[in-house]
Amino acid sequence: MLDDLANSVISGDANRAAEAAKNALTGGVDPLNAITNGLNRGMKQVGEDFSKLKVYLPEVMMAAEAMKAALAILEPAALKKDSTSIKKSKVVIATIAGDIHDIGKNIVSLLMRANGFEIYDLGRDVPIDAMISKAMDVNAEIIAASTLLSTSMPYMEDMIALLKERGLRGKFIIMVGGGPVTKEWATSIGADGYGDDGDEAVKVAYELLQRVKPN
Amino acid sequence: MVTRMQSYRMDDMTKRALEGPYMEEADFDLKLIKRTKEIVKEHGIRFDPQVIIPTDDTMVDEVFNAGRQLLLELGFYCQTTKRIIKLEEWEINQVIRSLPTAWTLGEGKDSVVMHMRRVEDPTPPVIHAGPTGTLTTEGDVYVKTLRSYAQEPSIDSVGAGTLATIDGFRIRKGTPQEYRAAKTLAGWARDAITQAGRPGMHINDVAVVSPEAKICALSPEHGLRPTDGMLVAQMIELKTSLAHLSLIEHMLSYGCFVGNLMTPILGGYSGGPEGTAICTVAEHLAGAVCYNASYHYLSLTNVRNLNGTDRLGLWTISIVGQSLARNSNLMSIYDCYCAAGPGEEMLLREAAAGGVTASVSGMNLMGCGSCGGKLQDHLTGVEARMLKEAGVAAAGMNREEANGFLRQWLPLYEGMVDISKSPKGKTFQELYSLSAAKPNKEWEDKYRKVIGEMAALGIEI
Ligand code: B12
Repeated sequence: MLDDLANSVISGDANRAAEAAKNALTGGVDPLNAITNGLNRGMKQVGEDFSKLKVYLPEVMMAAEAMKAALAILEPAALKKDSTSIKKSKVVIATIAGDIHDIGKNIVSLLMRANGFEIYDLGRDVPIDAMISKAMDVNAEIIAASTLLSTSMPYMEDMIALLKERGLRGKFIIMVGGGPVTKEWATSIGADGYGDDGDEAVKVAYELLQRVKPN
Repeated sequence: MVTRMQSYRMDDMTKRALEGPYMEEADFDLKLIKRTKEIVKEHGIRFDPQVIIPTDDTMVDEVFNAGRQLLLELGFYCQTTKRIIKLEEWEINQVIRSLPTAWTLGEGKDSVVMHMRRVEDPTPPVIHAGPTGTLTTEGDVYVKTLRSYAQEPSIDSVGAGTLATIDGFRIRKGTPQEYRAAKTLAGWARDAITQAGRPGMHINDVAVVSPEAKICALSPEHGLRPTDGMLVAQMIELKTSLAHLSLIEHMLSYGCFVGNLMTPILGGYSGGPEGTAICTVAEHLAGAVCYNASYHYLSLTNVRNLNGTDRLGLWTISIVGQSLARNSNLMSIYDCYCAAGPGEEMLLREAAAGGVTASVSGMNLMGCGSCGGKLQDHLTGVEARMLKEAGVAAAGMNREEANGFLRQWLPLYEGMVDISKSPKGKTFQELYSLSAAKPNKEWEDKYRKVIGEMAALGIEI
């Protein structure tokens, strides 16, 4: 039954995913187990396949839709059993000021959402204070900023400086990425994490949540 | 009356952008994903990794028909107003028919005529060379980098790199420094072609981010002249904005060329090579009708590896080029984006494959980009020379012959096109003597070695 869930996500079939979710519940599978070892496993596979270009973005989006359909059934059941077990980490994500390149950001957003994060996607060309305000409003754990432009990279530095100036740096995990951004540069501006692609973004976010506890 | 027609069309397009059907952008993307997939099926378009330059004319023509159908169904999306600029079949057909088949680029003795090329055309392609928007160091390095292209005898036009700093000041979008950068870049391009003894050479772009700042580059004295051109980007896939239409309005009245820049993402919203091909045809048509573009830059980008020189990429380029060359007078220019960096034989091999494919497929050339455009100063005139020379050598070759060459050539590098593996090479400063902007022996020797390998496979440069 767990395989069925995973495969319905991999094949991007929303109807089958909803069906599999119902079957899992009637078959007595623990809903949290169905999410983690069924759906999430399928999504992880899709993320890795996309990273190797075995599948393309439309397939990833369909997998995410299938995931959503099954979660609509499994999540309420899991919540009923144990309300703390599926607390989602909140991520405020945007393409930073001056930049309208958003394909990469959309991919990261899609994969993070599909992997269980609660995503607040503010879009593109977003001023740094708007990102910070939103993160404060929703009490986010992570601020993720994307850019493809060298002329917008300075705004990432500015954002970290502003957080420090306002005494808020310790409240958030900061992740950066996009074309010209490198791991070395991310470290040099004092960001917590960097990812080469959407798949890595998910992994790094999980790891940072373990390691750096935002407060 | 061409001018009347153009301003009439701009008002008409603006009106549609203001009054067309309203749609959220995410819904437009979803519709594009869905319809692209279906239309590919309806028209029976199939990627064949063994035939990089497709030889089935029926399928080539279907790609054109499918692209036109996609554009008619979806329209061109305006991000500013969230409305769709709807197009009609008759107006697309009218524009396609009314286009000229040659343009004179640049001035006087340094000008060049770029022709509408056809499949297997013996007319040599023209190259728009330069750093294609990649990061370059300001000042003398910038001028010398551009000069390294301009003084290659086979190169016809130079374009621009992007700057990280101006006068040592980090450039941010929408700041005074960005406007200064636009003016300065245009001036430096003039200096570079003048130093190379070709002051009338066509300049094909100034790469700053804001459309408003780009306008600062236009100046007959020390900037871009009406005989030069600039790129106007489309927002992928199939989108534009009022800022872009406004830039075009000014460029058309100034008199310079509008180059429709498309960066379709292979593996993105349009899916695999088949979907990306039809979407790219639609983007060419949108550029001709809505942008009044004189020519079209096809900068295909792989969603992961950022280049366009693998099998998937070259097939897509070829089928788009051929379908336009057989069914229209839309001049498509292949913007060659490579995975490897300068100083590497692999970069020359990628450029050679791109030049051969595009030339046989009826296109002109632009480039080269290297390292997926990620690394500063990783660009030189030598790889652009290779792109052009390979294109010239392949002009007039038939598709079967070219495929025979590519089948032996691609295995030499295709295992390394992965962005994390491809060799990044060296910078312009490391590969050239700065005083005269001349390539060093190491880089010239590699060039000679690679053209020797090509000759052994039947392509003589
Ligand atoms: C597509 C594209 C466009 C499209 C963007 C459409 C869109 N909706 O995004 C359009 C046509 C609009 C465009 C416009 C411009 N572009 Co552009 N564009 C590109 C192109 C070809 C591909 C970018 C892309 O989508 N890649 C694919 C995605 C999937 O990759 P990615 O974004 O890097 O994302 C992945 C990872 O980086 C990572 N990631 C991304 N974000 C994040 C965030 C976090 C937190 C993490 C962990 C990971 C992560 O995961 C993603 C998924 O795998 C690049 C070329 C290149 N080599 O990159 C140029 C490029 C980025 N553009 C460039 C330029 C110059 C421009 C323009 C100024 C052109 C012009 N003259 O008009 C304008 C800028 C407008 C503006 N204000 O932003 C330059 C930038 C040069 C520079 N030094 O900054 C490039 C490098 C091309 C070039 N060499 O000229 N462009």
